Amino acid sequence: MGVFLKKMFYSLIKKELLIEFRSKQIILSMLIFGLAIILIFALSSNVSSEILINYSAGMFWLMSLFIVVIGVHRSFAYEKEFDAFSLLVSAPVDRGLIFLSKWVSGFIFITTTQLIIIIPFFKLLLLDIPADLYLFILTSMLINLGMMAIANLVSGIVIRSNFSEILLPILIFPLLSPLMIAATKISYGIINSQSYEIWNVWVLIVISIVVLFGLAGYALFDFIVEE
Amino acid sequence: MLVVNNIFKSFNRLNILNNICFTQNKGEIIALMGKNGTGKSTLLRIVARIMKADSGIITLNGKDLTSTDSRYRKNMFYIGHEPGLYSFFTPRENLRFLLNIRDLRIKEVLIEEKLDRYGLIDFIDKPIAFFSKGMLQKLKLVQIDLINPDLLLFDEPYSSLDADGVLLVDRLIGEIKIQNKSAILVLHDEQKARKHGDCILKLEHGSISKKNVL
Repeated sequence: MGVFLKKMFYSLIKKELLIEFRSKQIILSMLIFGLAIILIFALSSNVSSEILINYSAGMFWLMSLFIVVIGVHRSFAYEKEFDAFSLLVSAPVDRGLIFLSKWVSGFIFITTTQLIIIIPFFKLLLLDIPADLYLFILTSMLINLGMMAIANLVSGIVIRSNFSEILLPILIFPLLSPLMIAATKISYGIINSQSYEIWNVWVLIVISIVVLFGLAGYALFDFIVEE
Repeated sequence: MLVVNNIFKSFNRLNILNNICFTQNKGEIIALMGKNGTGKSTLLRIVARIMKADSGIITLNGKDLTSTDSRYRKNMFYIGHEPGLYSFFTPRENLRFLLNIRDLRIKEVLIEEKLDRYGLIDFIDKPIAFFSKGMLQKLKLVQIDLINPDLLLFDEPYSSLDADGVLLVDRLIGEIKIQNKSAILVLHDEQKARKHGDCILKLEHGSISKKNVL
């Protein structure tokens, strides 16, 4: 990456983080919504902890799926407010870098939210915290990369639509399904202390999704953001 | 030189722009006029590559503006109905970001000077979320003044401005002329169009007619 591109990427990332630092709307809304979902899960699942532990990984990623939609929608809503996005895409900016900055900042926001939420999640569901918590967090970060690549790509497609808030979940949920299945298998394996050989194939699938959608987002963002 | 050739654009099978062709020489100011919904803003957004034309070619100094090479847009600046800024940022932060992404190194003191010129210096560190329409319009003028592009695409420069603001726009356009830079201005006032424009392009039923200003 050339010096100019690096500088431009730094400016774009700084912009994303500074807006969030000022508004606190993305992380705060994701946190509140995530905690609300956990509470609903905790209060409505009237089953033993042996059964609940089997569902906990799925619950965690279902919650993450919902909060990603909220976070990404908010992130693009800033761009629409004073039509800042038009000015950004008409500027001499490599549009792929806009995608990368949204991807990286989105990853930071979702990971921060999950790091805050992870302990309440296990505590409120009356479950033991995974023995290998670091591995759980590390794999979650990898999955977050995949989620954010897909979510930002889809957001780029729907941002110009008047129905973006409806189109976003409709398009994101099916596209994220394979990743969510892999995420659940990985997290289930870690929560239940299964050996790596049992779930490593799912890690490879997640890596493939990250690479595929990361590259697709970078290459296609130039075209999909045009009205 | 800007060359717009055979531009077609339709929305829901309704032809908005129908074979639009015109050229703009360096230092020429074009006043783009027409009734509401005739496609003036659409045409400007297509030139700025915010919107994609159904077909047609646009070149600036021989370089294809519809290509993915963002460097070709370096000397061009589009400003639409909205200021294109971030509501949580202050004017200083917005302008700094704008200059950074254009790789323009401009000293802080010049930013302050320009904001002072347009009467916004007292609001330099206040988020623009609470700015009035007129203040946002003046902030657009600051952006143009700082970037000083070779080709300016400005949609309705006089909207929401008070008498002082109108004079500021007049002065800014005058400076563009003096510097021999080009601009396409979407205007509704025929008098202003005659005053500033070297030629008037009138959009009607998707077609364009050219009138040179004497």
